[in-house]
Amino acid sequence: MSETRQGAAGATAHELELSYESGVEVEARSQWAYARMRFMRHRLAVVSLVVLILIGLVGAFAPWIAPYGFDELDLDNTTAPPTLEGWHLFGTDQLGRDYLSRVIFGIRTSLWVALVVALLSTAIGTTIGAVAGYFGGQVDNLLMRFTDLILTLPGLAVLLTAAVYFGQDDSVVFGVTIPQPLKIGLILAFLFWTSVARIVRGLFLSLREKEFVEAAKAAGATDTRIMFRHMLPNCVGPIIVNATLVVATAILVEAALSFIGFGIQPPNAALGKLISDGQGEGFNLWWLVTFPGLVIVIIALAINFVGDGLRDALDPTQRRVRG
Amino acid sequence: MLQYVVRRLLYSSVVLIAASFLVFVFVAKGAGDPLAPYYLAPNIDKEGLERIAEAKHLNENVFVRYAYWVRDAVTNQFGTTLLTNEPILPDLWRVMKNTLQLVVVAELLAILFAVAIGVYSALRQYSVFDYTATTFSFLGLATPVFWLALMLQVAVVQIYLHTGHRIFPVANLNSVDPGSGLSFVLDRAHHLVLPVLVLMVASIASYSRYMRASMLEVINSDYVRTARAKGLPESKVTMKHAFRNALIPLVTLVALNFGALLGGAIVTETVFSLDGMGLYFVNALNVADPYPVMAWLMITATMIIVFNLIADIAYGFLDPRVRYE
Repeated sequence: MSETRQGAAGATAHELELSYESGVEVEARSQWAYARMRFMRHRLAVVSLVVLILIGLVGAFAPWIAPYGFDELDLDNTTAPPTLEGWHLFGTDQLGRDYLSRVIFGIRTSLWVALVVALLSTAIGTTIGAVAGYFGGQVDNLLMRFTDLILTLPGLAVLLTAAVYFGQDDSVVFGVTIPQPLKIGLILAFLFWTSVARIVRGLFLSLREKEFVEAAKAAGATDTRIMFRHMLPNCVGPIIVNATLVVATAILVEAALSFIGFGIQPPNAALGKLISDGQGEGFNLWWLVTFPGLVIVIIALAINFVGDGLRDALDPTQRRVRG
Repeated sequence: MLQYVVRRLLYSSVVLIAASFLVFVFVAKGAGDPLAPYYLAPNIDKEGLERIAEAKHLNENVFVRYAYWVRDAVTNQFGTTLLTNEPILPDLWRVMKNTLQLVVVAELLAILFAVAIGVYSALRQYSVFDYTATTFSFLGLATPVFWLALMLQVAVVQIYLHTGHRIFPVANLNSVDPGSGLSFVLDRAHHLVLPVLVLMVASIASYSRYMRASMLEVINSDYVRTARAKGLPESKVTMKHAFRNALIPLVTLVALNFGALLGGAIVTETVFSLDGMGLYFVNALNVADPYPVMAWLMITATMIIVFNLIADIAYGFLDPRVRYE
């Protein structure tokens, strides 16, 4: 591991100290530097991260990368199996639409919906968990009962119902248009915050007994300041790990919703929808079903591996860098 | 104990009633007028639609409609469907029976495999077997259920196209003419092979990871070391001391999961068009009929609550350290 590696965020790694025993220069490392070193040792996680970044870039720059448009018809070239000719790597459907391009646009929608779900559910869950854990007592009881209630709901069914009744088209709130895929993301986020809420609550329950919280209280810090400036930074590791796993779950669930037909609606592209379109074409055109699904598997697998790597890397009790 | 169960049931009923109102408002308000699309159809009997709206009290406010729904749910077995006016409950019992067959078989097989895989992985931690099992469970958890089902269908269809053999049926619970008695059972079993396989993959992937983790924890605990130290044979240590205790967390997980699965394997049933709870629900949503949707949600929620309770009680029986307050 290179000694010049420095912490990414707020690192104190620049402070060089002289080791008084040998006179060798030793670099002080921040927690983030240690975390990054531990993550880099996790080879599968690093490879997965690279794959994810590549897929993310392909999705982000879909209009420039995709060889064809999302809905571009080519009636001379229908039902072509995967071929190098004309870059139809994933074949074409019965209208001659290039499935590689459709999948690339699908990645774009599915990934950003999943990111919205992860960000929003993490924000909701962290707030609820922090308030419950910090104040305890009746507040905690009420919030946790509410969390239990959400956890006992038949998840997919509630999502389907909500998506059918609220998520089928764009809507305008206070003059701002909310695109339909975003609404599906919001609906998912309102069911996905429970795990992070429980995690944060558990951490807060033990953190609030710590001396530094007592010190902050004695110094006259407000509750909000103690919660978000003093306690929350101690929970960042588990929160990030959980958020990563939420992205994977969100992609799988959104794909299932879109496959059943209640998720993301055309003209928006979505991987799950592409699979159900492909299924509609019959099983002779196997490539229409196979490739979008394969892409989902690769994304979900990569996210889970990255999450695994982060879990090991962000555990501050693990200081060992070398194996 | 009895007091605990009664209190939990009372609390759950309150939650259920509150939830039923919220869901009703949600479904009734969100949908707007469920008949609206039909008014737009060209050749439709408008008076007939108005009669339906009248009979179902669609023009009343949402509180009145909820009250009518509660009356129907309690005294008239969840009432009838919106357009066809057919009773809901007989349909629900039929699909529930089918779902039960699918889910029970799949879960039992999944538990058997998962326990075996999990225990063996834990006993031979970091062996080739352990790594293979880990890889497969990661794959299983990253694979969308519906896609796995479709790929199996694609494979079966391709085999048929190339060899002319139909190995497994890819849809429905039975053939058109299933016969009766043993031939009916065999026909049903033949149709359930692929759906059961699909359901098993997801369950095995998560249960086996859970079993492995729980077994590892127990193996490294003090009392297992004590059992070894006092000279018990290894087989007795693993089977009697470690294995039985490692099973406890799995019991909870399975009970919770099973409660949820009784709501139907929505995705699997949709792909294989099996006449179960899940497909029933999707169809009800498709025609935007609030009454079967409500009935389904209520029955499923009750199942989940009951199985949560069973999980907690079972935990107390298996682990005497747990105390009910």
